[in-house]
Order: sequence, then C-alpha cells, then structure tokens
Amino acid sequence: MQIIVKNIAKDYGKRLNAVHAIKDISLEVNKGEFLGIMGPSGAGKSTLLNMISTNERPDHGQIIIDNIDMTQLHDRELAKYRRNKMGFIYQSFELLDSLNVKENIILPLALNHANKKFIEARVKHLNYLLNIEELSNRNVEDLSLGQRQLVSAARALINNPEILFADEPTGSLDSKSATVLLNYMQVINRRENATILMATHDAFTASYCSRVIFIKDGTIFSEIVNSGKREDFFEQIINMQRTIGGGNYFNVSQDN
Amino acid sequence: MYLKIIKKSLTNMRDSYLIYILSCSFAIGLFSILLSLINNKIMKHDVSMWRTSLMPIVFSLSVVFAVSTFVYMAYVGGFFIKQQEHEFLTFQKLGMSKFTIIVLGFFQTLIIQVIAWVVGIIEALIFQKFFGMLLLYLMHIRSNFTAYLRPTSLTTLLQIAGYAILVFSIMNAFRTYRIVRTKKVKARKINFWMRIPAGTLGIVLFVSALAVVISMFASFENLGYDGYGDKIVLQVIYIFFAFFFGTYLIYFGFLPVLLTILQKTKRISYSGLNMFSFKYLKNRMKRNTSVLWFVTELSTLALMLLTVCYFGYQLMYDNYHAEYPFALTANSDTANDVRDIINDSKTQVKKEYHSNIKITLVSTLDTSGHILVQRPASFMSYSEYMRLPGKIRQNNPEINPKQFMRIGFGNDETFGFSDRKVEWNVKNAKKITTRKNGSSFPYGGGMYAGSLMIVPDKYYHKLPTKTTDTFYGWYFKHGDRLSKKQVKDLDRLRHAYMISVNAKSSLNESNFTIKKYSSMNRSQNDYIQSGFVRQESAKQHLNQIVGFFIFMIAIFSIALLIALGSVLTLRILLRDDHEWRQLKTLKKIGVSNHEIRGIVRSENALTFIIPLVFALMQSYALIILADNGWNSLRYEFMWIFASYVVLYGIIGIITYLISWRSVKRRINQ
Ligand SMILES: Nc1ncnc2c1ncn2[C@@H]1O[C@H](COP(=O)(O)OP(=O)(O)O)[C@@H](O)[C@H]1O
Ligand SMILES: [Mg+2]
Repeated sequence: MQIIVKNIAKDYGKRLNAVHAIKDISLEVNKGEFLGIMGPSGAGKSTLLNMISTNERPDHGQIIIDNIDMTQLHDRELAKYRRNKMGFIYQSFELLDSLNVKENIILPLALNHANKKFIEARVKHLNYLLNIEELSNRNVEDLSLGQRQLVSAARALINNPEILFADEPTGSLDSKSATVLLNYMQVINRRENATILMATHDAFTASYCSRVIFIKDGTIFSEIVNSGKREDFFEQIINMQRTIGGGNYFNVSQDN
Repeated sequence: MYLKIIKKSLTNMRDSYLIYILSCSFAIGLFSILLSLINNKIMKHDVSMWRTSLMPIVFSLSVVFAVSTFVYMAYVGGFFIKQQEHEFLTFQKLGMSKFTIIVLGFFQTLIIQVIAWVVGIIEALIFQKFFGMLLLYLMHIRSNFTAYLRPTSLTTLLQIAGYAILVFSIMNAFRTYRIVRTKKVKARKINFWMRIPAGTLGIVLFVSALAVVISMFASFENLGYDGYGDKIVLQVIYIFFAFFFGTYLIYFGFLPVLLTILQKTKRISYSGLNMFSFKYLKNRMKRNTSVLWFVTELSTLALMLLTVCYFGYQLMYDNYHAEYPFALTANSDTANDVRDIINDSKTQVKKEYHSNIKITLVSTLDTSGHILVQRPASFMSYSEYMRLPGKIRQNNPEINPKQFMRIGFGNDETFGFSDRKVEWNVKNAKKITTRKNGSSFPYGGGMYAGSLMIVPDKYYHKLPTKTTDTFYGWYFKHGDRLSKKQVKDLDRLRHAYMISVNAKSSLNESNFTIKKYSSMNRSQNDYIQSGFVRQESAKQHLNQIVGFFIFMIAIFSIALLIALGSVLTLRILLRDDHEWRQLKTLKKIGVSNHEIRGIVRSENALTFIIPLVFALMQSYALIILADNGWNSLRYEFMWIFASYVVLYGIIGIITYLISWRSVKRRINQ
C-alpha cells in the first residue's frame, strides 16, 4: 500500500461560518493505481488532493505515504519529498508569470540541480509529446487556458514523478488535447508504474482510471472499479453520477 | 460593506501601514517639537542667542523639515494605493461605481492619516520635555526645561494636521481616480536594448568620476595650500554630474542587464531557484529603479552633510582653542597693571604662569608658497614650553627635546598638515626646517607678532637677539567674574607694542624696532603685540552653538535615515498580488520555505546594499570638497560611515524579518 489516508478532516474559516470541506475520509491507494476522485463542485476533491499531496495539513487524521507519516514531517523534508517524488497539475495551473513557458516546464528539474543536457532532452521530449513546441519562448500570460493546462501538465511530468496529482487536468482542454494528455498519463501509469490521483467531474476523463471514488459533502459516497472495458466503466460512472446528484454537477466551475 | 473592504485592506497591509504610521508620526512629533521650541519661554529667557540668531534657524529648519515631511508622506502614501490597483480594478469589473472606489481610497487614507497625526502629536507631548532637556544639555545650559506647548501652537498644529490629512486623502483619491478612469495610458515598455548602452554610459560616467576623484586626491596631497583653481571647480562639477546621472544609468541599465545575463547563462540559471529568482529580482529592481536611486542620492547627501557638519564643528572648535586659551595674558610691560586690576576682583586666580621668549627676524614663504617675507617671530625653549600648563599644550602635537615645532595660524592641524614641512631662515642663526606644526598658542595668538617656534634649549641659548620678553598668564576659578569696569581697563592694556620691520635685501642685515602701539600710524610692516582678555561669554556662545547644531544635525540625520529606511522597507514589503501569487505558486510546486526565504533575503540585501554601497562610494569621493588634506579626517569619516552602515544594516535586518514573516504568513495560508 503506497498511500494510506486515515480519518482526515479539514475545516476552512472560523467557527461560526466554518466550511467542513472534508469531514471524515479514509482511503488506500496501491502503487501504480490510477485513482479517480469524482464529485460535484465544492465536494472537496481539490481539498482532498491538496492534503494527500501535503500542500495542506489536515486538521485531524493521518496521511501515510511509503510508510512515512506526512503529517509529522517538517517543512523542509516535505518540500524535498514533494520535489523528488511528486508531480502536480493544479486546477488553477499555478504557472509563474515571470518565467516563459520553457522555464516554467523545467523549473522542477532545475530545482533538483539536474544536468543541463538532461533538462534539454526532457523538455524536448515532453514538448513533442504534448505538441507544445511552438510555445517554448512565449510568455505564460499570453497563453490560452488550454495551453496553460498543457504547460502545467508538462511541468508536472518532467521529472517522472512517482505520484502524480492531477486536479481537473482536462478541464480546459479540447477533446483532442485531453485525449493526448490522458493517454500519456495512462502510459506513465502502466509503463513506469506511476501512481496517479486525479480529481475530475468529467465522466469521460474518469473512465481512464482504474478505480473511481465519489465524494459528496466531504465524505466518500461510493467507489467503482474498472473491470477492464472503458465503455462499460464509463456507463457505470454516468449511472453513479445520476445516483448522487440529479445531474447538475456537470457544471464546469473554475472555483478552486 | 465599504467598511469591510477598508478593514480588509488595512489588515492585509498592516505591517506596511504600521511602518508608515510610525515614521510619519515620528516626523510629525519632531516637527511639533521644533515648533514648540521656537516659542519656548525658557529658551527665550535663558539663552541670549535664541531670539537673535538661533530661533530663526530653528524656524527655517522646521520649514525645511515640514516640506520634506510633506513630500515624504505624500510620496510614500501613494505606495498603498498603487498596491491595490488590481483590487480596485476588480471592484470596478464587479460593477462598483468609480466614485465609490475613489471614496474608498479617500477614506482609507483618511483613517491612516488621522492615526498617524494623533500618534505623532501624542509623541510630541510626551517627548517634548526630553528633547528640550537634551538640547539644553548639549548647549551646556543648566536650566530646567519645562515642557510647553502653548495653546496657540497646539491649535496651529491641529490646523496643520487637519489640512494635511485632507490634502493627503484627496491626493490618494486622485491616485485612485487615475487607476479606475476608463481611458488608461499603457505604461511604456522599455526596450531591453536601450538598457545596454545606458548601462555602459552609466558605468563610464561613474568610473570616470571615481578616477577624477582619485587624481584630485593625489594632486591635493602635493599641492598643499595652493587652493582651488578653475580646473578643480570644473572637476568637481564633473564629479557631481557624473555620479548623479551615472548612478541612475547603472540602476536603470547595468544591473538589469547583468541579472539578465546571469539568467540567460544556463549553467547558472538552470540550477536551483536561480532561474526564478534572477527574473524576480530583476522585475522588482526595474520597478524600484527610481526609488533606489532617490535613496542613494539622498544617503549621499546625508553622509556629506554629516561629514561637512562634523568638519565645520571641528574647524570652529580648533580655531577657537587656538585663539582663545581662556586665560588672561599680559607681557612684561603690562603684567603689573593687569595684576593690579584683577587683584581687587572677587575672582580668585587659580594659577599664574609665565614664560620667557626671544624675538628675532625670520624669512619664510608666505601662504601662497612663492614669496619670501621677512617678519618677526618669537622663540620659546623646549623646557620653557614644557613648564606650561598641560591644558595649553594638549592641542599641539607632542615633541621631544631635540625637535622644533612651529605654532602658527591657519588650520594646519585641522587640515592634516601637522606634519607639513616649514622652513625658516633665522637672522644670524641656523636655518630651521621643521615637520611639527601646532596651532594652539600659549598665551593666545595675539601675543605673538607672527608665529612662535618651540626650539631645543641649546638652539635657544645660542640665538642672538636684542629683544626678549616675558609673557604672563592667569587661570581663574569659577569662570569669569570680571566687572565691566575691569574689562574696560584691561581692554586699554590690550595692545602692548608694535614691531616695525625694516627689511633689507639680506635677512642678516634687516632689523626691527619696537614702537608704542597706535592705531593711527600703522604701516604694513608693523606687527602688533597684544595681550588677551579672557572671554567666558565666548566660550558659552561656542558651547551653545555647538550643542545646538549637534542637536539639529542629529535630529535631521535620524529623521532622514528613518525616512530613507522606511521607503526601502515599504518597497520591499509591498508586493502586488501578482508577486504574491508567484511566491505562493513556488510553494505549491515543491519549493521549501527555506528557499523562498533565500529569495526574500537576497531581495533585501540587494535593496539595501546597492544604495548603501553607491552612496558610500560617492560621498567618500565628495568629501574632498570639504577637505584638502584628506588624511586627517579619514578616521572620523570611517566612524561616520561605519555608524551609518550599522544603522542601515539594522533597518535592513528588521525589514528582512518583517518581510519574511509576512511572506511566510501568506504562502502558508
Ligand atoms: N482556502 C479556502 N478557504 C475557505 N474555504 C475553502 C478553501 N478552499 C476550499 N474551500 C471550501 O471547501 C469546500 C471544498 O472545496 P474544493 O475542495 O475546492 O471543492 P472541489 O474541488 O470539489 O470543487 C468548498 O465549499 C470550498 O468553498
Ligand atoms: Mg476543485
């Protein structure tokens, strides 16, 4: 078991108008699993991912990754751990406006003081794969949302993370780009045995996963496992979505 | 709703506002204290000079202070509005009317200003007494200072406060208006390629100015007194110009280019956070170019001011000591009369002392250094000199029994020429070349018709002369209690005699005669020999003036330092949303707090060290204006500079701590 989440809870805000973003969630993820997290907007998907990826600390509970209790680590160790083992695709991209596209992509490798040649090779490979070669010297500010999402995906993938966290990675992409990205994620998941945790509210995106959990109001509502055939899995997901909330969770919202 | 928005922006920028309020209230407090000093009864009553000469100075200084404070408050107050540009624009997008946003800007400023003024006036009320007492202490006046802010002063102050608050708020409302008005002039983007020639020119200007300074130092050391020629004036103008604009161009061109080159060098930038931090620092630097430049030049000014003031103080002090040994003196003709006069005084004589001297003719170079002039000079033997009270000797260099020492007018010692070579041809005696120079005359400068030479005993005994004299001096207990009549009588005895030189082509054939003093038939070749009346009041005045100036200079330099420091601090603390987001993003992609702290640290270092280094370089060079023998004051300059650096460093470190604290708070949110 690579990731064990034990009874975590998280509130935002002060006592009176507190939001219980996560009430009580326990979860186990195997190494090499491609886990989907679904639920309507505001269900707590992003919060859950942020906590597992140690961006935020839970108010209660434990998060154990590779037998290390992340809630006990100090800031510097956490940063090191994240930098070496994790990749992030954020819902709001989190690109640095002052750097250009290429610099944004290679930042994680530069942070690890990687070799210059290696950096160039990696960035070339990813640019080719995600078809963003022309963007290399552009400013982040001038990109479309979809392009930004691809750039942030490239950045997340550049150091071959063992665990990839993807928060609505296809939210802003056209179906072709989305398919390219999802296929690539599936490739690294299968070939390099990378663990992927992906939050999405889109059934098609979720159908790439090997397992999908549904959360609602900060708790796990149910879970479906991919039996092998994507079309069947897609059907199951759609059905589950209907069960949960009457269908209006298809609203794409850009809230956090 | 509006209150909530104002409250939110106040809490968001609370550190920055706190600093602004503190420095504003400090300035306001000082201003109030200056105002209260002007009308202070004690000062008017106890300090005779106050009404005539010092009060106008305080008055004009407070005007200067008020103007600078105004500029500071207005300028820095604008930072906060600029900070919220993004927020205001969002409000506008959300449909808030322009007018409402302007009102928001207005009231936000109003609140801050009211707080600053209230704190400032309270500060003034509390510290008034302290500052007054400090001033009196520095002026050597033993009198109890009573805090006294007259109702009229207070109402004036409150009026000023009212107007200032209104003016600043309106100014910021106007700034807000400029942000939200529909038609926006887009800021020009400066071409990178323009920065390269500009930076190069800046370096050329700066380095050439430094070179000119160094060459001037070198030439001054050889020139000695020869003074300021046209060439030097031109050089000085050039130095000013080149430093002033060179610094700006370096900030504008060279430093960003340097950071760009570093950032483009893959070997450096591809490692760690450098890629980000160079760009980040460059952007911050570009945005703050004028502020940094402004601070640099003002720091230079402050340093120069401090040094010049110190220099002036030393000059005055030395001159004063050279001229006024604070003793009553007489020569052998007048000694008995003087003794009679002071004997029936209530003044107790603490000590009477006397020395024998010889007078003969010498020929020396005049101050221009080109013409030999013949004139009388006095000689005192080494052992006679050593018998003098130590207090008289303490301002002169020390000598051994074999050395000669010239004691002369001018400020040789002050200007660092205590080791200058002086040659005297002495009539019918061995020529003297000396390297010791003093400026404190025993018995006062007036007693010597010309200069005094302290010579070894052997030389003294061999010296052929027909004229000798004995000088007498008295020290009193408890200062000077001479009556008016006594002073008048003494004044009559002041001028003892005249020495009239009859110069021939050869020194050994020239001679002189001694005549009774008369102010009527005095020719160019006559040298007056006069005794001296101790002037206690002169000493008092000196103490008062010196104390007063120390007080004022201290206040001004502290105020300047606080102002400059707070400008830098605020520039560092105030990051706009965009910059905040970037730091937060770094955190999210796995950069540790430690590394972000490194960025904050280098930003701090850059912002504080650059202006300081440039200011030090410039002011060190410009010191030459105040000095033409730089060796002597080097030590004192080092002290002034060092204390400046330390104070700056402290502000820098505090800024760093605050800055890091607020960054940490934000990125961990
Ligand atoms: N930083 C925050 N401060 C306050 N409330 C937050 C914050 N982040 C998320 N929330 C709240 O927590 C809940 C869950 O948010 P989130 O995890 O972003 O939902 P999802 O990603 O599923 O749309 C929402 O109600 C949201 O408003
Ligand atoms: Mg979300």
